[in-house]
Amino acid sequence: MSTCKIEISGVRKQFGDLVVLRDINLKVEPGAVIALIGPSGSGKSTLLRCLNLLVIPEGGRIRIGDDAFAFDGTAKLPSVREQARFRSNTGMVFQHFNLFPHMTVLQNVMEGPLSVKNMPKAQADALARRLLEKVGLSDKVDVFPNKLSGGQKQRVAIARALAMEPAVMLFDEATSALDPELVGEVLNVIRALAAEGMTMIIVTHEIGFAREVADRVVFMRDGVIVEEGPAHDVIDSPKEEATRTFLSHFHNRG
Amino acid sequence: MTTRRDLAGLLGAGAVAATALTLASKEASAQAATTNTFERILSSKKLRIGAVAAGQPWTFKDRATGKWGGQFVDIGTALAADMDVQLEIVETTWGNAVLDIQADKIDIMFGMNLTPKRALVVDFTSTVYDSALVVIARPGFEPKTWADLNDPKVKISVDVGSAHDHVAARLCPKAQIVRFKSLEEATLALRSGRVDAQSIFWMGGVRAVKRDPGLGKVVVPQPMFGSTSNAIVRREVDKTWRDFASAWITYSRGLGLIREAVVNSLAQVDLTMDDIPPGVTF
Amino acid sequence: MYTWRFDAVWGYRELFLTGTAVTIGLTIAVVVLGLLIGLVAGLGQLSRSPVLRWLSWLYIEMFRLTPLLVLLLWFYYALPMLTGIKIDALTAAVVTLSLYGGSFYAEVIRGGIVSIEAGQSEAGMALGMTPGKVMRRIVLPQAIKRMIPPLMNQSIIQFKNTSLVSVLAVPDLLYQGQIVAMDTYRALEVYTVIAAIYFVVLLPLTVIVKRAERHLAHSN
Repeated sequence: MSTCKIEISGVRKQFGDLVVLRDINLKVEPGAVIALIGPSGSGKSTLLRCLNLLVIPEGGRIRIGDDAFAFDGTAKLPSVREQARFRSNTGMVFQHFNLFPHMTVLQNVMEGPLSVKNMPKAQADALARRLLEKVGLSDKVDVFPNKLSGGQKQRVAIARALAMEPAVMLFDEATSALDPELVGEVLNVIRALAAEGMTMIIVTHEIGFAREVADRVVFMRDGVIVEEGPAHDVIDSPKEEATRTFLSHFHNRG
Repeated sequence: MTTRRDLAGLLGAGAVAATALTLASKEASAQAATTNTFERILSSKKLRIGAVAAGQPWTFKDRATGKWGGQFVDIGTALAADMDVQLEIVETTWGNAVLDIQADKIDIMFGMNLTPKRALVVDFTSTVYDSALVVIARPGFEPKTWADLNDPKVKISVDVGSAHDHVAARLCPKAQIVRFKSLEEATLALRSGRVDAQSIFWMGGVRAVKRDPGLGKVVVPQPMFGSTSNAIVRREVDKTWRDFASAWITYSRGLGLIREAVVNSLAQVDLTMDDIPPGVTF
Repeated sequence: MYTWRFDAVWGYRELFLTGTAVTIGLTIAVVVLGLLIGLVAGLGQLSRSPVLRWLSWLYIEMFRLTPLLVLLLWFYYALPMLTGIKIDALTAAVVTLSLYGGSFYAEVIRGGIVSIEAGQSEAGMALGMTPGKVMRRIVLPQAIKRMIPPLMNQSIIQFKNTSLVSVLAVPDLLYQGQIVAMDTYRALEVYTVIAAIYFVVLLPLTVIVKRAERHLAHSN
């Protein structure tokens, strides 16, 4: 048995006739930070969503820690309870934050521990305050999300995901919806998590950030992993033509 | 007046359940055929009659006390007493009475004029009293005979499906018969000047004009025509209940009990024998 | 020219009051029951089970597309004949109105739920909540806010719908009014008074709905 934190083997997914993932294999070491890059439609977000079963693969196997699910398309799916338990292994941060608008910042962060882990209220409160302090939002605990900037919302979303004490954090284009001047504050939080040794998979278009923070970069196109390796190698001297083409757009644009 | 045929029409609209309904109603009618209302009244010690809350002088519910009165309540009370059972009064409307009988919600309903169409679906007892048909003519309209009313220019309001309706349509085929859902709406049409006359039995007509003289005048068109007021019971194979009720009614009529109940009920609405139009008997 | 005589009707004020009380009580009962039924049917429409979806669809369309008067007569007269269940007029009225209202509420509730962005459910699921918990903790609390104005509008319609129970001799405001009309032969005055009572009771409610709608538009 490998010591990998995450092991993805032979994962396949299609929506109707459109094949979005073909035979994906990926291993993630504990504490590693993986940046998933690639053009839109390459399947990187779908792969991320397969990891917490927001998308159910048609085939393959996914293991996170000691928790593993195998999929074969036709056999019956794991029960909703099993799925829910599996999801709590990972913390997901979405492009559009998806904060709960009917709850205050504090309540957003407390929601997972309270309703999923049945944590006592006082303990959840203390945990939430600690996490909000960590993301620099101690002064916003009693504010509703609609009063926050995009960067603040995303930092609350990160705290909300962390509150479940997940084994792995997943970031799905966490900065794409932000105004440029707000990107930095979110990246700082992610950077701090990396420094603490949190295992993370980050789908991103911030190539510079990927090079700086990620241990490894995975480049995907048309539902397959084209190239993967240490961040500096893949980004600075890609081996594959497709990777080069993709990255050149970024250099030109940047 | 809602009859079983109307109901059947309603049911027909829900064609989805049609098959189920046919099966179930066969079962239900088989069940109804085997029940014996007479036996049931005696064994449950309860006689259920239908009554209309604002049907003075026939039936009414006292606003202050909630107690029921009126000629048919008096008659029903006497009937229940002779059977040594309790009288239970079920509030309903004239329009729903036939359905109430069919649906086994009541055992007998008084004050139903005999019409062939009703006789197709429920059983009638013998006559409770005779009832002359009159019209309330709007002020300024003074017909003397049915021939005066039988004119395309004349509008006559009736409550649809009632004896008032059938008789007016038969006697005045040329007149415009305007049919309303209830007796009250037919009177309202007269009151608001939309018709020239309302076809109604004398007791209702006299009572209406007494309460609201502005309605017009009660006229007994010649030749005098009438019908009978009877009671209806559920149609069942065993006719014991209908026969018993008929025998009791005939007996009570001969004894003067029914006449007494009618006169008392008229007095309660301030009608005396002088208010009764000439020639009308009951 | 008709001489209006409202004094003739004044003596019957107690009947109007008890009638109004029955109408209001009936409305409260059928709104509460209808909401419960509507919630079940609305969620049924969104269920993963095709059988549940089909059953709730059938219920909703059957009641939405049948006139209420027909349903009332059917439940009071035809259903007992078919099933042998004894049912009094008030029960028949409450059951029918609740089921009828429930079919409209169900559509409002379903619409309110699907109007909540998918991202909200995903965020709840990502935390490890089961679909039921996501519905209770995340989706419904937000959806209910959006549903309140249309649900209140539907309830105002239900209030007026209760007048149809007079056909079963349930002593609501209209039925009592008909009694007064038959007693006094002052139907024009009676119906004027009834219309005024409905208006006076419903006017504050419509103001509240308008305010709720404005508040909602503001908060979003």
